[in-house]
Amino acid sequence: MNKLHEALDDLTTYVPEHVQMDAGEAWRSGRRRRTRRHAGNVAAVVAVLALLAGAVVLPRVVEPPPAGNGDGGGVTSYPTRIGHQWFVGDLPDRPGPVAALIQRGPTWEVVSPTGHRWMLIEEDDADLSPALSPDGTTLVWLDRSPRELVIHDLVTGEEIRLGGWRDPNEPITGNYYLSTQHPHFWSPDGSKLLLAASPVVGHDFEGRVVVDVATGALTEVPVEYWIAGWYDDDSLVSVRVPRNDLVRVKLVGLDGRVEREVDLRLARRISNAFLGQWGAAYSPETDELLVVDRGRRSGVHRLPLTAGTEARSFDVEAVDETCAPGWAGDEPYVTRYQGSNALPYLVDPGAERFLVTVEQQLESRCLIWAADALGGSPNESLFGTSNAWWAWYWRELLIGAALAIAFGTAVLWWRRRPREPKYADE
Amino acid sequence: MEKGEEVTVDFETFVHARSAALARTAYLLTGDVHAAEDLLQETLARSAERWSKIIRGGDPEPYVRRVLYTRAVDGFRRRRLVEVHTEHPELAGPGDEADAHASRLVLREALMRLTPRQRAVLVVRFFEDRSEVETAALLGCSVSTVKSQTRHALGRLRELAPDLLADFSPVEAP
Repeated sequence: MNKLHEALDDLTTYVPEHVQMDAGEAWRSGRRRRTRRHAGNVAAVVAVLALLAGAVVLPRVVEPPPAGNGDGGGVTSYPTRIGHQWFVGDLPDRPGPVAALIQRGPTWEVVSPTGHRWMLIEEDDADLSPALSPDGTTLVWLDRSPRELVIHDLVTGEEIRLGGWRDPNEPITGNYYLSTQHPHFWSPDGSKLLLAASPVVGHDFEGRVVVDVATGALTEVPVEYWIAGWYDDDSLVSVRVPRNDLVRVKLVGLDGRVEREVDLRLARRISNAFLGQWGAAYSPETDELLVVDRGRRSGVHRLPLTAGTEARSFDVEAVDETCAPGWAGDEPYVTRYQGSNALPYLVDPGAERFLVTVEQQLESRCLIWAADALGGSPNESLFGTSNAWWAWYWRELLIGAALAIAFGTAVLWWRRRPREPKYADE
Repeated sequence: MEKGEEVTVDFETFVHARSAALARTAYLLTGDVHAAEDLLQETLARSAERWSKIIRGGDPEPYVRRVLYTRAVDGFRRRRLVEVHTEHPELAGPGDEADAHASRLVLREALMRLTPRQRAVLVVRFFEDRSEVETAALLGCSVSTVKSQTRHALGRLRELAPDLLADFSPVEAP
């Protein structure tokens, strides 16, 4: 026994008489602490599960189920965000109405109204020349092996395959060429599709072919000029720019007869009178023609067919002139670059904005929309059209947070577990 | 008797049996009867929280003392004592000589000038008579830390209470 021990022992001789302990209160306090600890553990587990559910399960829950047994209605909304997915599956037979087709490098993908993507084809083949019906329920594309035009009903899963198609790069052995560098146009009722195709015999590329998607029947339509769309379910709008201040419009029946001819004067001369296949889009809803100047200024002209003169023109920068312009309901849009992505952009002054944002790494080229999708309501997301990195990686961040909480809880549990000191001499 | 009641009784029995010894240690760690009371009450509450597991491992006192020291060093020191007690009736017993009371007061004041960790090391080493290895295990630190803390604490005590520790040598320590 050392002297310091004796001194310390002496110091505390009378202490116990002055220290009052309440064993009952200590016990009750311990019970309360244990209850709180258990509740905290349960809350942590629930939080982790909720975060995992939010990050993984929820996006699948909100994804529309296959509409094979649905009411046959078409698409009524469009996604505002298209981002990366952990897995992009093949397009199912019956995904239901879809909103768009997106070209990424050599592949085409199908996009649901909520932005979920499916692979249409994985081959190194950009010349599918796909088309999506206005209601998003019918998909048409050119299959390469064997070379067939596929008409796929996305609601019922039924498919029609039409053989005998060739493109200009192949030997002349089929019945029709299909120009994959032209847009295709759906009739307003979605029953017919106008293809930039022409009979092999005669090599007449001014001609077009109309496909009846219900039966697969083909009708050759002799038409001149560039096509801007359907005037109604039985006639087409063809456009030419004979002078740089004049747009000549012909309404042509499916038998090739010109039903009406209209000259529309431009308020501002366009710099390039060569309109091209991506230069015009007609809207049956507003009876207006949208013309994109392929010159230096990328001017966009809005021309009501009834007025005979231009209503409005706007200058838009960074327009991709190899993507077709179009109409989102009664608002015109062009395809404009946002970073490396070509995206639909509303051009009306005061309402200019991108309709959708796509994650940069997807490097999307032209998007092909179901007309009713863009005419419907946007599926707003939590982060709007933000391009911030965390807005694209919120699922990964949530899972990381959940794992961090789980790890932290495990460490806390490990460190706070009851332990007895281990003495060397025990 | 139900199992839960048995556990409660075990706890209360332990508290009644060991509260005096634990109170003395708590006092040395805090230097104040009220602070010692609070420290000990919190230590017992924390022990009660896991009492079933503690007694399953045998004698509960090593665990309780570990909590006591840990709280004194890591947790309890964060709480500032609002009240300053100038009188220390716990240092005077009936029939004590004035010198004895004065010596206790000097030692207490000297202890209070040490850091909580130095105080804890001194208490475990020289009040509980534990070896350096045991002290390190109890306080959750290295043996070299125990050695250096002991050296600094004793040096400080010699400065503050030279008469008390004049003839004390660490060689006498276990």
